[in-house]
Amino acid sequence: MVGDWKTDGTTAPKEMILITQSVKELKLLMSDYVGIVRNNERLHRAMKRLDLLYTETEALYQKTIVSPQLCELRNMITVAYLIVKCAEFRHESRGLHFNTDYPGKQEMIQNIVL
Amino acid sequence: MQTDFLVIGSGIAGLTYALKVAEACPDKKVTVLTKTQSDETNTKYAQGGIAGVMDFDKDSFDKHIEDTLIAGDGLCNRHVVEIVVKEGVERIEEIIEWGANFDKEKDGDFKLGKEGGHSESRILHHKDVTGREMERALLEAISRKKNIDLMHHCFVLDIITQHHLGYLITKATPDVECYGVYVLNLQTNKTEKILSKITMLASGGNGQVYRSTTNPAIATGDGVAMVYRAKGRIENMEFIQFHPTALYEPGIRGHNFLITEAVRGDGGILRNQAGEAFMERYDERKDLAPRDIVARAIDNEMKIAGTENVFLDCRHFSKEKFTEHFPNIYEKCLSIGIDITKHMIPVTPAAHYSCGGIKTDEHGRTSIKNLYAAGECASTGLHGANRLASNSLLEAMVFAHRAYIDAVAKLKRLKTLPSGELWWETGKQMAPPHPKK
Repeated sequence: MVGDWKTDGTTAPKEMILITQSVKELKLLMSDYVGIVRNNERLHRAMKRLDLLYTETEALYQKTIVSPQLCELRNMITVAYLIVKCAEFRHESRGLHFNTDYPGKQEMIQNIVL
Repeated sequence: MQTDFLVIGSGIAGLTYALKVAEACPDKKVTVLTKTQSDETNTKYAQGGIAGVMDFDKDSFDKHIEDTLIAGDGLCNRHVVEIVVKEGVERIEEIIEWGANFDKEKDGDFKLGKEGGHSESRILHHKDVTGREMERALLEAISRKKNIDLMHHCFVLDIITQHHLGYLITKATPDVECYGVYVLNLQTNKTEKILSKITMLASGGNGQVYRSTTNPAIATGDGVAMVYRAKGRIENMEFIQFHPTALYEPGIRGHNFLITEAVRGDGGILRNQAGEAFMERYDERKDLAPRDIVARAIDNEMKIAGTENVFLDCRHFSKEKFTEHFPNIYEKCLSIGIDITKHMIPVTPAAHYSCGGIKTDEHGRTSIKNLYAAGECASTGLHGANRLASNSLLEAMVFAHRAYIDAVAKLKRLKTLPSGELWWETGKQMAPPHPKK
């Protein structure tokens, strides 16, 4: 007979690897594709991979209990998405953002708001 | 649980704001939430210092404003820059009154340092642990306030808006309001609801989305992500500041060890995987070229070769000279098996500061009503496309103060919280993961 659920001493889902592997993938792809120097090809690849991480993590979030590890991963995926999205929208190189496909500055000064 | 002022984050922005509202409203309750211990914040790791115009004979507000605008590369909001530079001096005097110590000369004047991008000496510092000293002073002042409740090990899950009352909220919805937060209490493992009339987000940076970062393990950009989920506005996230040379240690949690740029100043040479001293191909000043050029060159070499690091060659230094100038670097490298007189140091760029974030106005108000943001998680318009060194602690204090004035005035006008049970998303109760035997 399947008994009642126990509440004490449990915070994380059974397989932490579902979270830690995604954290590693996220950090690597951000450092390798969205680091100091960027280009359109790398940003595009980064976005495709983030999309997969997002889909997998949201599915996990819906069926497991909340844990700080899972929520941090979720937040980091959102932040990474925002960084890549803003970088894709900026068709110029200015300040800390350097895109080899758009090496110059645009005349129009614009803030990118998402 | 209900509170009057809710603060998320216990760095310099959150604590400055909490201290001020608690002092202005002694009969109101202030609750500060923090994810781990209360002193584990990005502030603690600020080594450099805080910029402020102190010596009006040599320096002036105009010079500091001009330096900030140049660094920002055309994207700074000039009005905000003027506010921060001019009001910053009062905020620095305040934190000195609260007990923070900055290094002084023998005659009692403050020792003023100079950093890259500043035209005058104007950096106040406390040895190389300025952030830790300011954090200590603030936490001490907080502990003397009876109406501040500092709750540690509280992980904020989401901010509560009309969405949690059952309304459809989109980016186009006007007047989204914040009623508080859902919190995962890590000591009891229960999800709690904290309702608050006014909420301040001071949740810090997001360096942890990168493999190498100077930020501690907690810097995962929680505040920015929460506001985005709640349909608030986020701005200019592409501007991430990198430190060009951090020690490359694959797989570590938390922050990477910094190899100061002074090592290059003393004669350290950058080499790629093939052993070539590549800087001469990028700039005639070679390894002494400005930080941006060095950072891009390192990044380019890594991209071409497809590697995760380059090397800093110090093998030609005498051991005596190196240990005298950089004892910590020598010890740290030795501890992971690198003898700098025999091996090259593997280095990689590390994410350091996020210039963008939650869009705020000049009073720290976000696009969501009753929700303020300050510190690294906020985008006030001060930094623009690049941050001037040591401006961030200043920005945090100035906007914490402006938000406090606005919040105290607003509290008097606010009605009580909406009645009706708030709900946690279906299936997200704290259900246990495995059955009891």
